[in-house]
Amino acid sequence: MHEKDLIMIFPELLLIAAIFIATVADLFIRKENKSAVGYMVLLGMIGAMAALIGIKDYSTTFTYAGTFEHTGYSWWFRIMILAGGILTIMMSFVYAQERQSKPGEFFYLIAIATLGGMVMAGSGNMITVFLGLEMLSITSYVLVGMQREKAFAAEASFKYMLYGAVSSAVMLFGFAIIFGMTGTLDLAEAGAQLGGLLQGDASPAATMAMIMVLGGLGYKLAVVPFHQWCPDVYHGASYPVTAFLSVVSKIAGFAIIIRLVDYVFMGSGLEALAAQWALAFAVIAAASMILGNVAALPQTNVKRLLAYSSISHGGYVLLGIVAFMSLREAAPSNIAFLDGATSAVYYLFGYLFMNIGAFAGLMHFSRMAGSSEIKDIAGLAKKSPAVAFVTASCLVSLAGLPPFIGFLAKFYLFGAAVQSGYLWLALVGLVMSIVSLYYYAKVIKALYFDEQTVTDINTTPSGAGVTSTLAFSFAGILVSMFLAAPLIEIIRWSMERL
Amino acid sequence: MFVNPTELNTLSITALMVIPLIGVLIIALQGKSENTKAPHYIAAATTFTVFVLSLVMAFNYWPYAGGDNQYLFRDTWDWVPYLNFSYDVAVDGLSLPMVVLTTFLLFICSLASWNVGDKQPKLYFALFLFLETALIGVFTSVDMLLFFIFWELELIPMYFLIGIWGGARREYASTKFILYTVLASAGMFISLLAIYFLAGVGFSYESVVASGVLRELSMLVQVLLFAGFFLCFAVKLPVVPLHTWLPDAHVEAPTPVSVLLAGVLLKMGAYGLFRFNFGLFPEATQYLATTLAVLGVINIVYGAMLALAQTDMKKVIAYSSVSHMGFILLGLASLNHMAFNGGILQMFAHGTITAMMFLMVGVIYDRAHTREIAKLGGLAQQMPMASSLFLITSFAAVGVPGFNGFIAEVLTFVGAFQSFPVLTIIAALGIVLSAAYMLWLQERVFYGPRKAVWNGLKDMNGLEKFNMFACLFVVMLTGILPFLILDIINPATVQLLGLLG
Repeated sequence: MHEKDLIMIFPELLLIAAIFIATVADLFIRKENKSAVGYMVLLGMIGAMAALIGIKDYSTTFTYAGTFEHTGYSWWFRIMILAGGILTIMMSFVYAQERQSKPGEFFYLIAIATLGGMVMAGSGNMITVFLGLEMLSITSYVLVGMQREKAFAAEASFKYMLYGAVSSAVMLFGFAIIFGMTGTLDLAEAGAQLGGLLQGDASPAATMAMIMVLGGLGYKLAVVPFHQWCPDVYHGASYPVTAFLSVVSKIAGFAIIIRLVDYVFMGSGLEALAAQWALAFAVIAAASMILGNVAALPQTNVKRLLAYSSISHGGYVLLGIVAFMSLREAAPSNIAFLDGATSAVYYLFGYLFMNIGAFAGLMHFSRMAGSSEIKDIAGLAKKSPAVAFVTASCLVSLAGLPPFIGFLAKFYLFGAAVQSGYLWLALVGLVMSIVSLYYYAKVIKALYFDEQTVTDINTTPSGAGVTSTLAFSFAGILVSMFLAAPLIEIIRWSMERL
Repeated sequence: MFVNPTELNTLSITALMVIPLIGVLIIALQGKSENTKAPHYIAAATTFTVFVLSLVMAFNYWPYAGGDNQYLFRDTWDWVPYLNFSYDVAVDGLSLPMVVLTTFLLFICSLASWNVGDKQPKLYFALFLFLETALIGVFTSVDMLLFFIFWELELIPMYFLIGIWGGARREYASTKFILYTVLASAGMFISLLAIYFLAGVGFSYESVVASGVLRELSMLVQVLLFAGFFLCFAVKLPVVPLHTWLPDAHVEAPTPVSVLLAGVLLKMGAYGLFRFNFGLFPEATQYLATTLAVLGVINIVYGAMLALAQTDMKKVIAYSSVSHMGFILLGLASLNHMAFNGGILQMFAHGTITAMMFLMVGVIYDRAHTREIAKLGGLAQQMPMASSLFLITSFAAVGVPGFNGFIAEVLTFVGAFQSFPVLTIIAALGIVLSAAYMLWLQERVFYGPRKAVWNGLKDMNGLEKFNMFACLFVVMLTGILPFLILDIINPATVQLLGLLG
């Protein structure tokens, strides 16, 4: 082991240390003081974030035999995943204390899941991908089921676990086939080998393997047709967990997808196949946008509505990846103009803030009303105008209206899609954005226009955690719009170091 | 960060947009109490400041109007260079009158909101000021993506202003308003994307026009792109049959919001049509001019006929707006100098006159709590001041000389006659009809037998009088001295005619 290798994973090590300390400390902390565990985890995460920022320009050729890499790409994705973890922890304090049977565990499980996501983002090897994925998944199963008093949560957790285990197995099988064909577990190496083996022809075995891998990851991303678990699980889980799944889990999934696309699907010698894969991705993207948005329309429950909306946002991000594949095929070395991957990642960055902000705000209102039905949170904007304002802003951003990042990011994505020749896909995205406005407006309308229906409002404050999550989210959706240029610069920098 | 191309540029458009946002911030920092008049004063002071600054800007612009550089007072900042997208705002002869109209009406409406805003005053005035930023942005953006952003931005405050403070069917009206507008703006969005990829010079209106790429496209493509923009502007204008959101929105909106809707928001459609449709696609414009003129005439006659049939005062005025927007459309479609000036002057004139009409309806509704024409009647005896001001307003709306509407209509019709004689004669029917519905409205509301129910109605108060006289002053000033505006407009129309030529 090299000393340089340790610096590379120093953020992860810090996080592991924090998780360890928090786990042990949890044994000695009384139930009413469990927030302390949360603070420890949070501190560890912030430390890890600081460390990550510190090693931005740290570059090394030493990796753990290619299993974990510190590249600009993994660096940026780890930043996003960690930021998602931090925001989730911050919004969890009240909820963990009130609703979770094991508040201490709740915090460090989220930290472990975040760590899993970071491992995924840095992995250059199929084993590490799988390890990271399972670390994220298994903790998520537990997190979903942690509201023990709710039968629905247990059902959701069970459903999530069943689907998750099967899709992991399918993905692993896909990896096994690739390993069998190429004799290597390294993603880059496997891609190169495949290119040599196939010589541009689709082989049934390789196609099968890629479909299996995609299936496994598609489940994490909750894109059509791997989305069926999503509404039930989101509905059953608590708000912070739902927010976490819809954001961090999704970002981690995309970290792998983009990498797989770059290394394996578009390895040298596979360019001709890449166009076919791009079409397959495009179909998945269109289906996700259509199904997600249309199915969100009749929802009456906030969580289910956001679940369907998050399916559709997975589709939007895929749109960027489709552009990435097609543009790369058209001009292999041209990364300079309207890069598909950059637009996808820029969108994910905005999505991180707007979705967590929306969840945090709606959690606040659901907590006030004691229900997550839209009709029950009616009229609550008057009770907490600031939270309502941020929530509405996040929803407006999700719908893709200016002045928030949702607009510019969608524009960038659609532009990339058009650029790569997928005009029809951009049009689907555009029409579906308009459809989405209708159901987001439904929530905003309930908050602001409708008369309050629930009489016993819980006015205990949601605490500084929720407030700061909302503040960060609002700053995020605004700043990432106004400082788009430097942000895109960073993302592009990281994409060049994929 | 900001580049000022002219030496007189000590005023900035950005300031006009930032000052209302500062007002929003001050309102937001006002603590918890909801029963205070502080937001009212802050909003009034803010809008007044912006109004004065825009006037100063107009006076500074005047001597330079007609020079080579039409875009005086310009602020630019490279926002997202990768997308060729920049923050680029400037005023020229077309946008300056619209900016002044906006800031003026916003000031008047902040005063007219004195009682409306009592329900959740902080939110109301915050949205109100936010709307001002968005509207100024719409009229000053040179970058087309920026224009689109401001265009969509204006929806958000409007949606809430109608949806929270509106009448009984406010939710229906606000939802219809936002869906119509967003659906239509998808048309503009598609055209924008297409222009972006076809021209390849980014989103700046100036560079796209200068590149001349769009003129080399086949007529079919030009017409399709034209249609994308037109759909968006036609809904806003509104062109029959896309007008159905307007009566609902107008009737449900509170008085000041109706004023803004008719006074400023409808002008966004005409402005966009003139600037972007005509400027970007001159060939397609010539190709489609007759169609546009026919649509304009349909608007004039159909709107006026609908206005005649209404039983609700606000609806009469809402449909009269539809009719008057037809004048603008006809004027712009005529593609000649006089009609262009008339159409643009009509934008300003209608903005001020319709404001007076909605203010008057507001005055009556505040007291009688009804707008049903059949229930009203004989109000002249209880409200002599209101009665006479309403009569003057009616004259202005009908186009009696001395008011700015007259000049606008004369220019429009004389200009339009040169291009479309038959259509113009049919359109002139609209003037007759407008006299009919306005005077009939006056007669049924203010004259006739005195009704006992309305005994004890108070006449207009000081604030209402101030608002009306301020509008009347502008209407008459620009009616008697039209060159005040025409001198500013004229260079812009000449420039556009050059493009069309």
